[in-house]
Amino acid sequence: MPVYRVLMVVTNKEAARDPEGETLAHELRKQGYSYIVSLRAGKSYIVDIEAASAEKAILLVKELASRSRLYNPVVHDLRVLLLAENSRGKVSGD
Amino acid sequence: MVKYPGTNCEEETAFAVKQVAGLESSIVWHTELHWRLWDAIIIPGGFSYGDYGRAGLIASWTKSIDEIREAIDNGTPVLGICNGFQVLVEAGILPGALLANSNGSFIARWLWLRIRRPRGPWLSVATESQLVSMPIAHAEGRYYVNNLDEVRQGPWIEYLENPNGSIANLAGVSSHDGLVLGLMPHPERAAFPWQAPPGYTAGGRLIFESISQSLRNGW
Amino acid sequence: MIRTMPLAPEEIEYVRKALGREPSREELAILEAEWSEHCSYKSTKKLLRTLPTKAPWVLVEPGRDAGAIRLFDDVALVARIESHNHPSAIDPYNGAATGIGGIIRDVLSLGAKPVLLLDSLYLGCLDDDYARWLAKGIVKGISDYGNRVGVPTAAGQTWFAKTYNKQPLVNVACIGLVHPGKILEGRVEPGDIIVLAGNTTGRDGLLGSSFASKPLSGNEEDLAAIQVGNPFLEKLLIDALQEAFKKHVLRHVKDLGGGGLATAIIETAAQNNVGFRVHLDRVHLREHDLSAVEIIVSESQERMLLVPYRDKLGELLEILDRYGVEYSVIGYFTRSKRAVFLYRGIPVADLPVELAVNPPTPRREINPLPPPPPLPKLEADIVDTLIRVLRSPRVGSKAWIYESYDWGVGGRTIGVPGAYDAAVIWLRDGTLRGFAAALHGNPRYTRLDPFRGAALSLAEAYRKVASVGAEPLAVLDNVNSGNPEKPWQHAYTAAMIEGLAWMARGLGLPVIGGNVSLYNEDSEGNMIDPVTSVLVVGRVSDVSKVFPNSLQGCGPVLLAGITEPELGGSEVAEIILGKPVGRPPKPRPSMEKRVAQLAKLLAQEQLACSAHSVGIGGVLVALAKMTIRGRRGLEVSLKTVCEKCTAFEAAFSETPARILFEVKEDKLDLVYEYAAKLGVPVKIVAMPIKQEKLVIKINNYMHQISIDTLVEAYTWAEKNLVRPKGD
Repeated sequence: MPVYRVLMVVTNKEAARDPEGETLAHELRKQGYSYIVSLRAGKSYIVDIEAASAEKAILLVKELASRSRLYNPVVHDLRVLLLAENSRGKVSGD
Repeated sequence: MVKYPGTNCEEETAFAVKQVAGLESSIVWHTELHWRLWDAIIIPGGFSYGDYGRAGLIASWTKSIDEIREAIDNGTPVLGICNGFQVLVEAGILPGALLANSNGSFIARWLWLRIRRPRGPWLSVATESQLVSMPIAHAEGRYYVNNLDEVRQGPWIEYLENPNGSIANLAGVSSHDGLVLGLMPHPERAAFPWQAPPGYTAGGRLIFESISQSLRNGW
Repeated sequence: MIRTMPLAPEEIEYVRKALGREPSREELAILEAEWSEHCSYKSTKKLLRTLPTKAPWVLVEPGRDAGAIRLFDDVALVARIESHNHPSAIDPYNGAATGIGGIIRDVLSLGAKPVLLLDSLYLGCLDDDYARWLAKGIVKGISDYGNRVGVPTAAGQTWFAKTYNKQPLVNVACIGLVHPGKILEGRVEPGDIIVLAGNTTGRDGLLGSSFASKPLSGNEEDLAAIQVGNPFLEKLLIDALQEAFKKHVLRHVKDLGGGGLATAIIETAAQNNVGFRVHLDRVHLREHDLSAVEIIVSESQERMLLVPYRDKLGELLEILDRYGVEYSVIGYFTRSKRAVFLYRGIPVADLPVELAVNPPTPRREINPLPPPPPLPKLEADIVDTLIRVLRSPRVGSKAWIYESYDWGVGGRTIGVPGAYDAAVIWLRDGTLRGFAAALHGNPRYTRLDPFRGAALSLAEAYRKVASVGAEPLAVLDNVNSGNPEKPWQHAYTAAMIEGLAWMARGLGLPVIGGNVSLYNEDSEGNMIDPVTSVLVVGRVSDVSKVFPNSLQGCGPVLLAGITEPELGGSEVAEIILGKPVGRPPKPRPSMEKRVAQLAKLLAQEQLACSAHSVGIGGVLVALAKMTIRGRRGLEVSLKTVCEKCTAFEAAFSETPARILFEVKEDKLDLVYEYAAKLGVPVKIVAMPIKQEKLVIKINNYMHQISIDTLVEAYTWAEKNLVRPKGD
């Protein structure tokens, strides 16, 4: 079966606060990066997944994230992006 | 004693400087630091700017770092404890990086340390391979450096039992002349005998006694 | 849209009558928050009045954000305890973290400097994936928040039981210090300005205290926003307030906790017999389209109500600016005794303050309690049972928890958690003075017999404080129980409070604060095991003289107190039978007091070198722990512990009011003399030996266990359950 490299990003929901992102944005603006409108911090995971298709890989990662509680639906938003596909063992992240 | 928003060990460090070293000390807000006014500078522990981004990162962007660099260029001793060490590393004043502990969690415990090749103002009364005990308390204390030989040009401090995965058991590193010292353990929490639990001693006194000696008699 | 728990029809009728008109939407929202169980204690008020609250050293009785006692002539100790159960069951990380934030702000409200945090966690079984996820999230939440704000978490307790698998209980306490003359008295006058400082108000804070006052629906996705703690902002608030206290800028401070803005101002107004006018549109907001109702009841974290002295507003705002703490000046107190909220100049709520703080008392009924299941005769191999008890997560090492807390920040902590029965905190003021604090609750006891259970939880916290050599001075309690609308559940609440009151009287200690968390039911309406966490604080005159709980090698081990064959509700009974069984042991306040006096005397005169209170698991487990921590061998004689008991009972009975002392060999006679004077029975139950072994003498046979085997058992749970392979 092909291997897909998937990026999984867990951030606090828009409605919830993000002290880390807010503090960084504030301090960066003070440093002169005044063009920053907003910044959200989060955790990201790069997962190589064995799956029949890219869609299936993304589905599997979403399921994994919910089941394992790597993301808590009460507070978190989950984004899953395909980075690379179909290259067993040597998928490149770029 | 430089204070950033989120610094939280400044009072006990000032207390130890006064009681153990017998020196006067003041807590100075980072924007008000003028190096010429001080004989030595300590960046105490804590969570400057909440440790957001990386521990010590945001503090390393502040103007206080320019003052500290100038102080060092002019021979003023600088000590970074825990978050202070992280600030010095993030600012590039000391080499290497401090990564998340290998167990992925904050660790607070007492442990034994070995002082190696002591020299400079912060270790002037220490002897080679002297053992001292102090507590650590950090989440990002796994020291990493590409060139170990570079670090070993100056004095260093190593863990007897490595708690966080630091390379070569490093708990503290220094500039070649020992003028700038950064260490993860907290000497101010090991400055009085009753602070130590059974089986340990107040090993932090060594740092405060050294700076006391050094500022009075040179090093 | 806000969804608070609506008022009962009879409550709405009561409001209509009192106002003589239909209440506005905003007024209803205020009363919903204000009359919630969390803010009003309407179901337990009457019961709580039975607690003793007075003593000559009490400076602030229950009723304010925190209580206070005179620790020394020039030092007051301020303390508060609170639960964060429901939020922690939904989002363990943020739920526990925001609990820490709130409890610190309560202590700040009296003008104190927070110096110690304690937590009492009742978690599920660690072999359950979901329960382990909750447990780790809670511990990490406390660690990440508490560590960042620079207040050490240096004591607490952790319980594990299946009943908490989905609904853990999180009780947190904070202790602060202040000069007795500088305690903020909570006084405000008409004309005083109201400043709201800290976090912006937003939708993230909706659904707080009314959410804590109803059973969890089980459908967590259903709940809208959750609150995320900002420890960095909390730290700035702490620092800014310390500076404001030093400069005498503030006359009143109050945390915006459950019920948000409305509750904080209304409670202040009620205490001072005044009213207020507050402009909601002046509140600094996170979302600009927040409605008046939402601003009133939002419980966004890290916000405080500040009332400066008349001429000090400018100075206060300057301090807040320097620390980067946002604020808004939102109104002032009035003579009118009415709570008036305006939005864009138009009054949206205008209520008598009296009405808001006095909900009609609901009828609460109580059913008789069921008797505990009877205890069968227990007998098993003692060495084997000892190992099984040490492997129990309730008994075993908790280093994985306390090592993730910064217990040492502030430089005041004596030693490390685990090395002393209670946290010992040095004042660090140029003297050797300090205080000790311990937090304890035993849900197994309270489930089986809530009266005895609560009494014994208090007794154990008291004993832990006593066994370091401190003098216990005051009590705070956190009652966690079921649905007050169900008589069979409310019976537990009532009995726990009665047991607590009875024991506090027996020990001669005032209760200076407390918290009640109700509606701890699962989705099927079953009560989860109720428990009362009890915090005891005591005076330490010399921190260099406190007893560690590890053997130091100075002499024989003496047991103070009497042992009876009492295995009901014991750890060993649950381990052998697989469930809590039997009636918990008889509480003995007068013996507790005498044993505590002995401990204080032995510490003062340094006649012993270590001490350990006997708790769950009994004498043999207590001796094993002293052996493990000190890595020194002992030979134990079980017959001496209790002559009328079987060896098994002597080993594992949980009779309270007992402390083990490692007495200095050459001071034995003096110790016997003091014990006799105080009326405390003492006997040598173990002798030091050279080998690293625990040798147990049973009916003239010697059973040996190496210390390494004991250590392996003691650390088994944290090695195998907390971080199972592949986790």
